[in-house]
Amino acid sequence: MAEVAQVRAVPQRVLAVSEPTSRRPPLVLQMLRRDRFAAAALTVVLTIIITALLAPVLSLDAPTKTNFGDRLQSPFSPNHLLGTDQLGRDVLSRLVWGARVSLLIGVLAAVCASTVGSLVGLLAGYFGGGTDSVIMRVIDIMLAFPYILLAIALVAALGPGLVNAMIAIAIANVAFYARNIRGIVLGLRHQAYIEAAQAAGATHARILARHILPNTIAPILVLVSLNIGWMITETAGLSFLGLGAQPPTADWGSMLADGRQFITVKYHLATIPGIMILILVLALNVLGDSLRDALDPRLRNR
Amino acid sequence: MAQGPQDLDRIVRLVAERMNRRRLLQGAGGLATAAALTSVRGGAAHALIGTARPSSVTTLQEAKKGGTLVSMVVAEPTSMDIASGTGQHNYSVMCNVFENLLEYDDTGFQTRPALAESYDVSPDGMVYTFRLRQNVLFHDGTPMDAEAVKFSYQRIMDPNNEFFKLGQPFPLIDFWYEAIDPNKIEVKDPQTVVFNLKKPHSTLDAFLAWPAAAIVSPTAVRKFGADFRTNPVGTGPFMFKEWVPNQRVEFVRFDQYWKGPAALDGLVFRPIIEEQTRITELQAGNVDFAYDLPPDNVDQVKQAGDVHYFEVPLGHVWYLVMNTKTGPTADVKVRQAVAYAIDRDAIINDILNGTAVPANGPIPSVIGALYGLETAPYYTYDPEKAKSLLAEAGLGDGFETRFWVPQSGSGMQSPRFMGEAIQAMLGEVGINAQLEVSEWGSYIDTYAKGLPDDVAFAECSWFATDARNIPNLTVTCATVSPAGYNAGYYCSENVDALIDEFSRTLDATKQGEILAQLQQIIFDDVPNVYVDSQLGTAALSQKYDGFNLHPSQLLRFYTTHLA
Repeated sequence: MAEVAQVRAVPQRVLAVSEPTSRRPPLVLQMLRRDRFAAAALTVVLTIIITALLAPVLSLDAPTKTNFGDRLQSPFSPNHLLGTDQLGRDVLSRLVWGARVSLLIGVLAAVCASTVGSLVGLLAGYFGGGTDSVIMRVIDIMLAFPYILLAIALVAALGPGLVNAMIAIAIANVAFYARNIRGIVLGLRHQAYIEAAQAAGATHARILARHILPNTIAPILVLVSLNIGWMITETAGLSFLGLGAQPPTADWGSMLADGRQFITVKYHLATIPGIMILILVLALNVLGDSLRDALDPRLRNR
Repeated sequence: MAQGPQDLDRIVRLVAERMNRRRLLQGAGGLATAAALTSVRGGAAHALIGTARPSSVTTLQEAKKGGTLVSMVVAEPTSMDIASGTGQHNYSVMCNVFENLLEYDDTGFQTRPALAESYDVSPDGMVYTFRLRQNVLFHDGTPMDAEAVKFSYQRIMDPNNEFFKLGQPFPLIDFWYEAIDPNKIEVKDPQTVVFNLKKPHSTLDAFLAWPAAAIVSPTAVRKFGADFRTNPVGTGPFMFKEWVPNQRVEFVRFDQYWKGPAALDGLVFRPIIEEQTRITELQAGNVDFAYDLPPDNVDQVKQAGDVHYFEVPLGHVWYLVMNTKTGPTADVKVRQAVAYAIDRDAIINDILNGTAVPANGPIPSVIGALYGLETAPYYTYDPEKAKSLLAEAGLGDGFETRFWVPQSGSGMQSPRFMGEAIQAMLGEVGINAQLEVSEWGSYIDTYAKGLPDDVAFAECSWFATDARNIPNLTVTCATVSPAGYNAGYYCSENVDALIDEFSRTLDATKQGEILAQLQQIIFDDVPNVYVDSQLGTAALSQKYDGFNLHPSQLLRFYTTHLA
């Protein structure tokens, strides 16, 4: 629960962010200038995203094109830079197309989970009392299940498939956002300017939309950046278990799972997607850490 | 009770006929070597030969004594009680502890007497009289006699028996032994027991030899009750010693075994579910014997050179089920088109790396060969013909549907990769089948309920020990889902009538004629596309010798000894 502890300290940081920053260069550039790791990580993530986006333009075989006579080729074989899989499909092509699936599902799940989770956290934190108790007990129940187990149970109910896997991961992560955002809102709602707005007769909706929400955007962004790598791992995990991407769709998790069955014959089939998942998630986490550092005044001034 | 010499004659003739057939099939005699297996890989239908390795010693008495062989087993056994087995792997292990009235011969599903010394069948096939072997002891020292036989059968079949179905019974027991009336098993004298059938079952012998109907010690069952599942007592060459769940099952030699004691001191079975782990454990020498090897590792295992490698066609069929009730595949032309669209040679030679032989109907080739069915024609890969058949059916532009595939499963070989390959082949002729993969347990549950309207395809496979079993369980009207496992809803009066006739026919030649007709109807109606029969694969460390891989995958280690 290290992340939770870090984010609980956010209120001060939020105040810092709301200070005028216009005279400094944009935050991201500052961060990158200071942090070479972050720059490297950003390069990696951007390369993967751009390659994935360019998949239709690159002259690759179709990721589902089978060629049984040409199966289980090693990397650097003619016509297949990264070899072929058990059905003779080009591994490079599947990797590139699979990146689209893994990234898209990871990002979408993060967006869905953060939207719903933040809204729930906002309401619970702002209204407090009975609303808070009811919402947070439900969240507690969700947190009582291990994430992956909850996701598996949800997929079991919804049926296997990429969209359902995404929904399941999003739902499983709602609690994470709700708890963190609630903590931040609890700190905010007794600030003088909120009380001033209340005294001036502003409606709850106006206070939430104009005063509280803008102050939670930065921590939400930090949470998302830290969480997205986890989302991608989890999508891969569900696909690994056969609950995510359905064959013949290429997806890093299912490539890893299929490749595992050939680990003693052609180890590249499992290791290549495994290394790609490692690199992408590591890069995303480094970026998330840097973003948090950049947004946290205590660390920034060090 | 007609036990005249003419009955014995008939039995002898019947067995001799079957034996001759098999010898003919073996072609030029001693082909049971690697060369013959190469031709199996090429798809030759005749090379249905076991890989019995001639042992360097002629009798077990001369063999080197000692050694505890460590074998793997593909899953954790669910019980040590043979009657509570839930899967093939239970029988693979427990056939070393328990024995039956009859047993399979070394290379196929012909039966020969085991605990029964001999038996007669009445001319109408309704009365089986077994004369039991004398001086056979259970591991607890009590004698095996007619009462024990009666007790063993009643325990698995008679709901009124005090020990009926202890634990979880094997789900197919009722199907397999339906002909036996448990209340009409008569003990004539301590060495003679008579079975009166409810209805004829011409291949009952194949089921009498299946370990589910093993003879257990009544004394031990009475003594242990429900704990018999952890204290099994049979007559086999090995006695139960210890079961450490999820780690190992240990057996030791039974010195008073009626055939003479085994050479090995003991046996250990270790459950290894993960296929790649079987290979690494074998290579590391942590197991002496591994079977059901992943197809793409077979070459590696053979080349390693420190193992004896075994390959034998199993009594097994893998097939694509089609929805014959609703959707496009309700049209027989579309089903024929599907059969033409599937390149079975590519599946067998590439996806399965040659660890299979082509199937041509619901009867496994190793069994069909006994009746001369192995030469029957089947659909060959012809995508153009498939397209024109689809056009004739008014589906020239193809169609969309769903295709159910399990993640893994007993006898399913490589279900996902085979599913993806079939999907790609169907795509070539315009059929867009969306794969839906599910976990084996839930797959079986939903499959048994039958295919919904928008699901045209599903995968299935069966093991069999006789010719009747698979058709009887999968293409009869009585087994249409959800009543049975006929998930594609195929129902034909002619098929039902032929299966019924087969059950009543004792003559092997006539049996072959009936099966040929059955096969022709199944060929014309194409309820399923029969793809392949799996080759059983196994490797034994060269520290040992004298093993023989059987098409039943029963791992009988009695004859195995140190090299």
